[in-house]
Amino acid sequence: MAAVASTSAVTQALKTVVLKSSDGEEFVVESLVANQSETIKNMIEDGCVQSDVPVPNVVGSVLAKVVEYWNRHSSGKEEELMEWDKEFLKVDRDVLFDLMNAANFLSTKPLLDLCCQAVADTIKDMSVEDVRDYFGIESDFTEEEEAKIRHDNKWAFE
Amino acid sequence: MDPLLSSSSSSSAPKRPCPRDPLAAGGPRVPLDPAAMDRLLEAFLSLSDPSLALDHSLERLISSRVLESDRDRAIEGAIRVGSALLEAAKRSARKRASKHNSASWPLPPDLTVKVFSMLDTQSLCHAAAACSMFNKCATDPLCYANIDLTVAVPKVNNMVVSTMIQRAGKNLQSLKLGIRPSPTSTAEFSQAMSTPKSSMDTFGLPWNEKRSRPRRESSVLTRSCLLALSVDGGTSGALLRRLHLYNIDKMDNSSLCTALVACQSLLDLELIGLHVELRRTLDVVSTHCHSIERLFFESSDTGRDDSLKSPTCIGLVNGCPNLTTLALRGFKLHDHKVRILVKGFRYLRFVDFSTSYSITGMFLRNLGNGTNPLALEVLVLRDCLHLKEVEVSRFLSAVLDGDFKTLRYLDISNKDGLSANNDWNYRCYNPSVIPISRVLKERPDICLMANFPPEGSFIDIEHFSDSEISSSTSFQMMAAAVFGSYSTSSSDSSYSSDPGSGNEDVHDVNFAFYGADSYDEMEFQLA
Repeated sequence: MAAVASTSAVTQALKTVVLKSSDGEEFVVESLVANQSETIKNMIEDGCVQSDVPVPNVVGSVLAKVVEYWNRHSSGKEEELMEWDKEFLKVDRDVLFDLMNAANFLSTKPLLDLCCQAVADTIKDMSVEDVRDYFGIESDFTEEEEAKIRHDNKWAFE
Repeated sequence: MDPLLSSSSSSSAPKRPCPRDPLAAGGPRVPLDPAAMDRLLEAFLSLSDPSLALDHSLERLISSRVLESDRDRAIEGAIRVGSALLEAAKRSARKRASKHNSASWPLPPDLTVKVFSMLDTQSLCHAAAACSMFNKCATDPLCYANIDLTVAVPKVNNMVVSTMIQRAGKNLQSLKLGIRPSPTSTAEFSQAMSTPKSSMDTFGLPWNEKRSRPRRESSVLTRSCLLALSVDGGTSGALLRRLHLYNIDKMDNSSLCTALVACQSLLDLELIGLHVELRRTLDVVSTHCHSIERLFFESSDTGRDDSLKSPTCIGLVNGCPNLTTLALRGFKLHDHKVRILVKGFRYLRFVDFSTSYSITGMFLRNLGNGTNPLALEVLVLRDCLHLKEVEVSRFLSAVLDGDFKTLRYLDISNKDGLSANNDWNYRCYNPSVIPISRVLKERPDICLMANFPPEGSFIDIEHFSDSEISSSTSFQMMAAAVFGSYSTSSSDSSYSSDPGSGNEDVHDVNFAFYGADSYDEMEFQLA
């Protein structure tokens, strides 16, 4: 009982949190808004947070985008948000990946799903060579292995 | 590769591993110590022009042999060593490529799998062939949760379908097969439709983009393509939540029904261009797919399927209480049967009866008020041949009166215009009787689509000649006549004698609808 009371006292007292990125940038975010991150929400509820929340895996520029997403998504109509999301994701591939990892680390499922879908959309309808070129990956198959893979899914390569 | 053992050979010269010629007939192979081997290889690799140097050296070596067999052995040896070196180099290249890939790929495997699970199956196969890291991720059953085989090239056969279902294992959620029809041309339409998250949470799809005729190519899928869902007591089918089938020519009633029987968790069923009967399909859905929320059914032969009966509607309403989205396009639907459907589903939000025959719009009367008003959000009645201008007008008046508060999208566009009251052969192309502009003004929250052919007004009612149509005063007279004849014909046989709508078999239709609730309760008790 007492524990619950003190937790709710803590959550009530905590109007804002300060997120610290891996490179030392600080972001003041309302607790309610930051609750979109399951990770942070749990930390606040467990009372582990005084005011600063270190986010060691995420650099400032990326954390800024995550905070931007949270702020925009704390209110607003669905249709408008979808349009905004489309614009929001018009970023470089590398930023998109960073965003994904950040959303994963901070457990912000909607943002994570959005980013995954964006990456999936770029891969859609690409040929094998295109996939390699786009992501800068090299084939490490033997000729036999590659032939077998193509044969096992023959229909996809015709 | 043979392990290099340290030997006790007394080799001194770096280039020549052994005093004795290892290729000499009958001579034992003396293994090299690793350091010596490394030096040897180093020497080879540092050759500036290997082909020339090796060529000459080999020639000299061969000439120095006396016996023919020794010469053969020399050549064989060269080939062996050459291939070994080539293989070793390739292997190293692959290892380096693997390392490079895992170093430069920024996502952990679980996120990669998540991305892959959002791909259509063909793109997934392409990604799997890109490198071994992707290939490994693509073996995760999660990638096959949403099987999308609706590729443009119809090379997908039954075997492919069952293979993918197998790969998905317990993660199977969604299956899409066949040849997709091309999306509808109306951009605003699909934009308005891209949202309904409330009923499409798990799927997030634009719910209504496909309309036109099937493509010329036909799928090689046969009617047995869904067998994999029913095997083993239907374990795979039981997992399925979404099933979309497009233009599979060879699909028939019994095969589809067999598959649907297994799909007890189905939430979303979309059938376009299949040669299956509406009634039989809906009967199976009512008896086995009780969780269904979205039903999108487009006929393969517009206006021909007349199979829908009232008991089927009642069965569907009773068996599938969670339905929020209902689309029945291109069928012959009658108002009283449709009314059972729209009144019967408690959570119905999206309704689409585009390109239907026979419905006149009468089913819309008195729906938006009363004890259980229909909380409709989207109503699409595009290109319904027998949709009457008067019914549309009545509906819009109800909207203006405050009914249908939740309505936000209405489409009554018709490429042939709307039907006149007495005879569906008479078309109203520019119906100003319908308070379109008022609705646009007073209910700005509603997106109203009312595209008709631009020929201008063409109301052709028996009392008026063509020459009077264009003048505005006669227009008002026509409007009065339309309403006038309508209100006085409460028990008029003109309604039931309407040849096109096929409503002849319903008695006292007008009275029944005015006393809406009692009529409906009677119908329900039939269940």
